[in-house]
Amino acid sequence: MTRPVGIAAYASRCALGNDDQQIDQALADGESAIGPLRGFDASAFGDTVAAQIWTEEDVDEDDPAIRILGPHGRILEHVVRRAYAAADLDQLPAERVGLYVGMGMVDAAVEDLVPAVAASRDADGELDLAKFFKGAYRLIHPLWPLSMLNNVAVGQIATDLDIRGDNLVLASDAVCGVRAILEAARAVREGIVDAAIAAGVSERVCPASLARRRVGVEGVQPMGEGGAALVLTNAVDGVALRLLGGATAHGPRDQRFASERAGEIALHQAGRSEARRLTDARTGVGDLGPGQAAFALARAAHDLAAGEVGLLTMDYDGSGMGPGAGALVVERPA
Amino acid sequence: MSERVVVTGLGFVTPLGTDPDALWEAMLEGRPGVTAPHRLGPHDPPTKAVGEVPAPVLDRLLDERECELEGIEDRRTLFAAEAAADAIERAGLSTDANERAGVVLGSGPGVHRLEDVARALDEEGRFDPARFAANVNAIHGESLIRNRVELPAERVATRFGLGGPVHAVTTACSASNQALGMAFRMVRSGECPWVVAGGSDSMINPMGLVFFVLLGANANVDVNDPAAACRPFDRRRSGLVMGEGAGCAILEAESHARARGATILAEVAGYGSSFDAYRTTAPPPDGRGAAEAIRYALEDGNVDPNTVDFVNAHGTGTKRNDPAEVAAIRSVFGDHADALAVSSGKAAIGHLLSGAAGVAFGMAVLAVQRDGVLPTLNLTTPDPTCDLDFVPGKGRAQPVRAAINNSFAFGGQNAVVALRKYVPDAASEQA
Repeated sequence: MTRPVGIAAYASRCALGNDDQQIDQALADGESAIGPLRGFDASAFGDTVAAQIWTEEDVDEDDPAIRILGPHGRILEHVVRRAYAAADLDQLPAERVGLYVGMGMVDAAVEDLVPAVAASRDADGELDLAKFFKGAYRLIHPLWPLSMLNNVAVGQIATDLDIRGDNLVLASDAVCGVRAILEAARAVREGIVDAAIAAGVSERVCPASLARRRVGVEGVQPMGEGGAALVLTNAVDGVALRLLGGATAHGPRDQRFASERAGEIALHQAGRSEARRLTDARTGVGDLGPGQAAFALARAAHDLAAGEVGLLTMDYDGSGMGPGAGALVVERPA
Repeated sequence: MSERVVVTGLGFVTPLGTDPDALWEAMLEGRPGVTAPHRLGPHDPPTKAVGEVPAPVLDRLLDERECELEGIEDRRTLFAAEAAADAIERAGLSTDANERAGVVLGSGPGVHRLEDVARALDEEGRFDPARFAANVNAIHGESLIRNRVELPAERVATRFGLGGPVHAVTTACSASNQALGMAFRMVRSGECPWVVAGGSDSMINPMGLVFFVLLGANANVDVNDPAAACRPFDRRRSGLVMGEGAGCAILEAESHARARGATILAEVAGYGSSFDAYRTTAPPPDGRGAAEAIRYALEDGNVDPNTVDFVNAHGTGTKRNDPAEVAAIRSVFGDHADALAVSSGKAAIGHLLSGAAGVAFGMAVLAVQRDGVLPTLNLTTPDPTCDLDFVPGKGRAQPVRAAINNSFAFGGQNAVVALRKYVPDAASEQA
């Protein structure tokens, strides 16, 4: 039996705004969030612009939550929390709510490693592993390992919201954001959970991610030298899904699907393609990586008019580094 | 559309070798694969016991695969490619016309090579982005590109021309089981005729060898007897021992397997996952999240708990995991828990992290197929909080009608796959 899956709520955050209203207004006004890169001197990379989310609370290194979540985990938390609240998911049994996330590359926070590496250098400035192992490694923050495990960020969010159901964390190419939505839709459709949050979050804008773009990979032209012109960005989005007209009725929430912003997700195709990425930077938010698909979905759900097909969104691998693609269709429920 | 899902091929790379028959015998006999670290041993790392893939095996893999894989040095990818190749070959699958066949592999996080950070420091020991950028072409691939989580899955798909979905699951110690579960759903729903699923990992590198030391999760090690360091369910257990390797399986639609006359090793009956929603690095003492995942897997596959004979446990040998897992097993199986054979292979080969459940799944498949249960090594001092039949020392032959493969991760993700002996039904025979 194929059961329809609807969009019960959505939340987005990107460099254009911290909530959907801000983003909608910025898009309507044709604003661009691409601007000078902040946080470190990137002039030597030749890449001096990015679309970054930048508020003090997101970069406060003394905040233990950020230590565990990492900066992009913190951004993810914001949108998941908002989608969860908007869909009233706290009204459902914790075991019947799922969480499916596509996450961008987790690069080591170099600044966390620097004291240990500095103390491990020999007279020529080269790394001496014996020094590192002898004790210099103790200068690494003890929570650093957790920040390298992106599932820990997702687990922390689940703990905070008391989500206990089916779950998945995929990484790290752009298509994993689409797959997170597809697996969430599958879980709702098959009755594994009653509702699911599907989300995606980009990788960090940091020296390593800039360097990765700079060196180019296996046929993809480096940024600024032709080919896929990607603008790095921090962004994230979340979509809450649940059955339409299913066995689990929860009063007011069912009425939400009759509202003008309701949407339905139906899996029509999933597969891969080796096609080069089709980057559209016209929205001024840059390449969202794994966040791209859910972001587009959220925007589509927001703009749906009665009876119309919302959007066909396809997401290819973010850099052409490997095979992988998925596709989904967003439709208004009949 | 709902397909029965069967296992038709297995591939392994472990500290005890790569051949399934030899690995099964070694595990059954209780042969230890944990040693002192060899590769980085001369630098005296704080991790004193590891499950390393032996150098001769590694050399053979490099010889056989290096050209095909364009000089890949990332060990996770090398291991995954080997395990996947063996699984595909043993399944008798053609590598042609695989437009809808997929790959889902669990894989661990990438880490920077420390020498790349060292080169970017200024005279005062501060990180200088300009130096980092100036040497960008000298930065090792493993610090930027080859540490990508999806690289093993991509390489397997490319190598074998698999045209279906290609994904990487990154949920640490539960990653392989989640990959297997995702693949199971893909095949069951008809999305893919077959999927290479499992996982690989290796953190036997400078950052990896301090990773669990920083977290305080490493086992205490008697340097004269590193093989005894990991002691799942033993009262003297003190933590985990890291290992490396890969385990891959071919999950295939029963109709597809039968149509091509494949040998079916076992049936994947069901899959369940859950969150603990408790603490980042510790499970709830009552094992409630793990219990939910076990229960979901059994319900998903309509598996009567009383038909389960073997539990391939997560069994890390940490103080908190083991009794929580026992509590979970008891809460699901009730009185039948005392009839279960429960074992952990981590004492023998170490904790393969994102690849752990991939190898454990393969072992569970062989247990179901061969009617045998594997042992738990180093279990010499019983713990009253861990009071199941852990098959200490050596494995044994016994009927295995159904089995479950447990895995639980830092972060609270639990994933369990249920297996049962394959028995064709009337519809299968008719087809």
